[in-house]
Amino acid sequence: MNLSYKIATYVSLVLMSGLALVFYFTSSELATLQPNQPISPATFPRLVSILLVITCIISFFTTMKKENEEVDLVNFHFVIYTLLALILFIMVWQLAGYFYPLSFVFLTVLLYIYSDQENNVKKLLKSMLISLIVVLLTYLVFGMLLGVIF
Amino acid sequence: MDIFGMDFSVLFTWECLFAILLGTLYGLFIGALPGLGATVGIALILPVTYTMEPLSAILLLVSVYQAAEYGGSISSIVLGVPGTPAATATLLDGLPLARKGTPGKALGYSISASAVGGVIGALILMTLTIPLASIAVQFGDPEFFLLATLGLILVAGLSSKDLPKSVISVLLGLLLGTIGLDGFTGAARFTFGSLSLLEGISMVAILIGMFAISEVLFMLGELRKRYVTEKKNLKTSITWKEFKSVFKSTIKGSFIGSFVGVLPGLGAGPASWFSYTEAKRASKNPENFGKGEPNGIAAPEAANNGAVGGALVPLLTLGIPGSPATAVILGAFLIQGIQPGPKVFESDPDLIYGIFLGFLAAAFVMYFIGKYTTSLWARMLTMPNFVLTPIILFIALIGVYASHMNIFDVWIAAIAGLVAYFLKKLDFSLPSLILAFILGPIIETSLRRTISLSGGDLTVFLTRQYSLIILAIMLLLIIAMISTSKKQKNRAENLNLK
Repeated sequence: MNLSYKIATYVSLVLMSGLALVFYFTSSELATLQPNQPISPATFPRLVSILLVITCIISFFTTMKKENEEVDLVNFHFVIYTLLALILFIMVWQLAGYFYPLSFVFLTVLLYIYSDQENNVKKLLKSMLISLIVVLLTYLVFGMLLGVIF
Repeated sequence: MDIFGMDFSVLFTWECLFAILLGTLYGLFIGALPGLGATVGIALILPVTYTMEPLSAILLLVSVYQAAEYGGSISSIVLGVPGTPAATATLLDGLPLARKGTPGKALGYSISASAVGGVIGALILMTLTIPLASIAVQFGDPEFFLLATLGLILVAGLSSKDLPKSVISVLLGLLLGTIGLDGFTGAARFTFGSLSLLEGISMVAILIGMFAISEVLFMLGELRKRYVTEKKNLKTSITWKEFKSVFKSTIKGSFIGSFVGVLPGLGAGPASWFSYTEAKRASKNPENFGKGEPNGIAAPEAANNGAVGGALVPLLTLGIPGSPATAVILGAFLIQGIQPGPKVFESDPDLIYGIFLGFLAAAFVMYFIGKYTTSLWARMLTMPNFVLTPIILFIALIGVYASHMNIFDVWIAAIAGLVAYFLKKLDFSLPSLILAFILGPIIETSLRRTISLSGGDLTVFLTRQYSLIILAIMLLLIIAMISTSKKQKNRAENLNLK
C-alpha cells in the first residue's frame, strides 16, 4: 500500500494544529488561576500551542515546495491485523482479566498469521508451542520473580 | 567528592554483578538483531529494574547500552545488515573482510576496539562529570531553563532532515509534557476528566510505545525476511600485532566518540561516521577503505562505544538526557525516585561512583563475554522476524503494564506506537519528541520559577554569568545551523542546475 507523502503530511499538520488549538482553548480556565503571578499555569501550554500552529503553517509551505513521493507502507495489512489483535487483547484484558490464557491466545493468533509455513496444522502447533513457552517465561519472570499482578 | 573514598563493596554485590552480566548478555543479543538498537533494548528491559536497587538497576541499563553498541557490529559483519544505526559505518569494511573468509578477524577487531572505546568513554565520563557537576551546582532555574532549551535546539537541529517537522516534534513533545496536575497550583491540566491522566502521560508508556511498538510495526514490513549467516571462522580473535595495527585509530575513535557523545542530538551514529572519516583521512592507504581495511572497523566501533560514556555526562551532571537511550535511563532514575543532576553527587556519591566503576567494569565484561559468545549471537541471527515480532510486542506491553500496573498505560503505549509509526514515515523526529516530552516539565518549571522570582523581569537571563554563556552558545549554534542549512540548500540547487 502506498501513501502520498504530501497529502499525509498535510493531514498530520491539520491534526496537530487542531490538537494545539484544543490545548489553547481548554487552557482558558487555567489562565485565571494565580492572578497575582506574572505567569499562570496556562502561559506555557498557550505559548507552545501558538508556536505549534505557526510551525505547522511553515511546514505546510515547505512541504508544498517539495516534490511529491510515495510513502511505501509495506505489508500494511499485517499492521492492521496486529492493531486489531492488540485492541481486542487490551480490551478483553481490561474487561475480563484472565491475562495468561488471553496472552496465549493473542500470541498464538499473531504467530499463526505471521508464519509463512504452508501446513496449517504444523503452523498452529508451532505457534501454540512458542506461545506457551513465552507465557510460561512471563509467568516465571514477571509473575513469580517480580511479583507483577496481571 | 573523592572517588577513592567510595565504598567499593556497594559495587561488588551479587545484584550489581548479576546486573552487569545480564545486561551485557541481553545487550549483545538485542544489538545483534537487525533493526533493534540500544534504545529499544533498554526500553524493553526497563520493567526488570523496578524491583532492583538503584545502583544495580542503572548498571543493568548502561551495560545493555554498552553491549548493544558492540552487538550491532555482529550483524553488520556477518550479515551485511547493521544491527544498530551506529554500526552502519562498520559494515563498509567489516563485510568485505568477512567475505574474504575471515569474519572472526573482523569481529575480533570490532570487539577489541569496542572494549577500548568503552573504557575510554568511562574514563571521559569520570573526568568530565565531577568538574562539570561542581559547576552545575551553582546553576539556578534560569540556567536549567536555558540548558534544557539548548538541548532541544540541538536535537531538533540535528535529528531530522526536515527542520520544521523536527521543531513540530519538539513542540508536540512539550505540549504532551504539560498534561497532568500543575506542580504550582495543583490544577488538573488537559486531563479531560480522566483520573489516569492526573499524574501526566506515563513516560514508560510513551517511550516503549514510540520506540518498541513502532519498531515492531516497522518490522512487519520485513516479516518474511530470513537471514543466512556465515557459520565458519566465527572465532573472534586477533593477534597482538594485528591489534597494534589498529591501535591509533581505536584510540582516536574512542576520543572522538566520547566527545561527540556528550553533545545532545548526536550520539553513537554520527560519532562512528566522524571516526571512520578521520581514520580514512589519516590513513597512508585510504584506497584500502571499503575493501576490508581493519582500521575501518576499529575506528567506528571504538567511537560508538566511546559515545556511550559521553552520552551519560549530561545526564549525570545536569539531569538532561541527550539521546533517546539516555532518556530511557533517566526514566529508570525517576522510577527509583532519584532526579539525576549535580545534587545527587552530594546526596548519593556512592551511587554516582558505583555507576562510574560499574560502567568501566561493564566494558571489560563486554570484552570477555563478547569474545566467547559472538559466534552464538551470529547463529541466532537466523531467528525469523515472524517469531520475533509478536514476542517483542508482547514484552513491550507487559513492560508498560508493570511500570504502574495500569491498563490505561498500555492503551497509551499502543496509541503512541501507531502515531510514531506514521510520524517516522513522514520524517518527523521521534528523538526530538521524546526528549521534549521529558525535558518539558523541567523547562516549564524553571521558566515559571525564574519569572515568578524576578517579578516578570526577563532581563534576569542577561544578568547572570552562566546564563549569558549558555545564551551565547545557543546563539552561535543557531547561526551555525542556519548557515549549514543554507550551504546544503545552495549545494543542492547547484547540483540540480548541473
